[in-house]
Amino acid sequence: MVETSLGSARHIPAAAAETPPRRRPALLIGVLAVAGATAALVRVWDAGGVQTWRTVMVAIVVQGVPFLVLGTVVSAAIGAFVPERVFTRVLPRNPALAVPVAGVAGAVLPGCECASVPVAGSLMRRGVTPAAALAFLLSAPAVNPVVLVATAIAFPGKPEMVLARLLASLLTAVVMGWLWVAFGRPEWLRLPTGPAGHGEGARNPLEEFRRGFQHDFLQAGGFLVVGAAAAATFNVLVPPSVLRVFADQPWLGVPALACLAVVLAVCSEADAFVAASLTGFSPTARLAFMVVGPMVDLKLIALQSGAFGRAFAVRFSSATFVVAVLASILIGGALR
Amino acid sequence: MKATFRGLAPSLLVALVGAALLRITVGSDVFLQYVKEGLRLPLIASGTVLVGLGIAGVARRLTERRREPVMRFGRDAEGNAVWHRPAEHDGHEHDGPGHEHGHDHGHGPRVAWLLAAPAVLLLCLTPPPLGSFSANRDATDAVVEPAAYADIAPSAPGQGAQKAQNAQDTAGASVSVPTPMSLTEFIGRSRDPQKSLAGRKVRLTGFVSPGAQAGEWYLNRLVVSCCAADARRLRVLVHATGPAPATDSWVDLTGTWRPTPDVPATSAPRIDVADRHAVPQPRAPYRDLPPSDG
Repeated sequence: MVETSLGSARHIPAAAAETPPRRRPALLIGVLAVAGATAALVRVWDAGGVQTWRTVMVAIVVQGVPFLVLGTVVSAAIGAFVPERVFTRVLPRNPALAVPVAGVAGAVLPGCECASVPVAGSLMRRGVTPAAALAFLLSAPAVNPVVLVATAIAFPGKPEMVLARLLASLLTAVVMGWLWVAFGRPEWLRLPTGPAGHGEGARNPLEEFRRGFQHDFLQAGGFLVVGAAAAATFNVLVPPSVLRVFADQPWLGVPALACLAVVLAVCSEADAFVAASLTGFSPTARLAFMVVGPMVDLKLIALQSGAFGRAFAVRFSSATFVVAVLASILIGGALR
Repeated sequence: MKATFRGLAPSLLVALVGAALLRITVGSDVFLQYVKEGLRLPLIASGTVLVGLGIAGVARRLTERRREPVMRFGRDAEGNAVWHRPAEHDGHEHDGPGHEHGHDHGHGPRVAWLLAAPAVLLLCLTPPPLGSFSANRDATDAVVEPAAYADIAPSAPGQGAQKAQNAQDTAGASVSVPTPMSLTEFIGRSRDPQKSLAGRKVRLTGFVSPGAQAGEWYLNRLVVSCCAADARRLRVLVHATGPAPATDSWVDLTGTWRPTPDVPATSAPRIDVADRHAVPQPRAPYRDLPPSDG
């Protein structure tokens, strides 16, 4: 469908070449391509895969938006109402000490990964050292009371799984914070600029809040849709049987499930149930699935590149992936 | 006019997303096709916040515009009176007192427009719940924890599984009321060493997906613990005469378990169907509940 319309479009430049020289053919090809793609889309709209793709994409967005709203409200409120000195007083001045404090703080506060990205951004804007904000970003969705209870329910009679998840996730968050202290470069991190109107003291704080909210929500929401679309594509295209090839080899099972966690983008409250259903994989591999999932997945990479820039998201996510896998192997091996 | 719309658009988009969330939760159970039931209140709350802030943004923008002069009186080089529009000379739209940054959030981040896609889908073309496509590709099976099951039918004449198994036919005939059962319970009982299902008539509800051979199809449920992205399946292989019901349709069926000793325990249990009829899709498609009477 698409190809035929593109093929016919190739003849058009010759005819239309005289009057406005460059842009007209490109525009026509574009219009025809879009028309062809639309026609093709209408044809397959109700095919099982497309239907499933739509449902999964919408489901991830619907599931993420309340947490995004919560995170954006909190971050806009931090920006509009909380003075900077509060954070400098609460956190230790030394970044290396602030990292574990922020990591543990993240574990206490229930949050979802969609909420933690804007909050971490506004913490940095408010002068919290990036390393501590990043440790918070990683630990808040990965270990909090809600997630731990869900894990205990998903693995009945295996409290060691809950403990392993707590330890491995905290370890990853703190190590990543320290890695940022040691090797991080400020130019990788495009600090969130936020909406206009900073430094204009005369402005109404409520209006400031509304603008901050609208800007952050729209930006993060757009990237949430990008991540949801990518995850839905993998959900439809990649058959789960591909994974079973790796189930038998213990050393391939761990990276295989870690990669699955990245592409599936299941929220951290639910990933324990998915991990429990991945029978045939070693406990360490399932642990890696639960440690990696809330810290690195397609939707998070999209959200992070929206908030902190692509250069940051790529470096940070790949480093976190490696650290999380190593932490899972370490803790999973120690607790066996 | 265009400038007005560009300034309003981000706020309208926020309100649109909020309206979509309210549309699937208030007075409607559509949201259950995508997420778990527990998210209803957060969805309503965030929908309200979004609609409220979106409308506030629109109102703010409109009042700001009204305060701005539409036409300004002046004189040209020859001293003739002329009216000109300040907005047109500015180039881009005005944005309240903070002009220097106004450009940035007058448009909003461009990626934000992607949010319109799920919002419009929810408002106009509500995507259906996951169905046979997800169930029939080799999806991950939900874990059914082995449990100690109570004896089934209160009206069963012979107590104890052993007896029921020996007198399979008579028990099946005398128990007139089939036991409604969730697929989780049916699958769990089919692996029960006590064979508590033997000879019992049960009622199951699920949606249909095609089987590999004629006279065989699957009765499925998908269960979800957060959103549809984490769906896992439960399924029973149905043996029935006659053509299979339409794929993805929901049926309520009555039948007896068919033991298969030589098949691995992880494969779908089988049922011989005596009776079946179509039912509407349940309110919460991802909750594996036994069929309700009615």
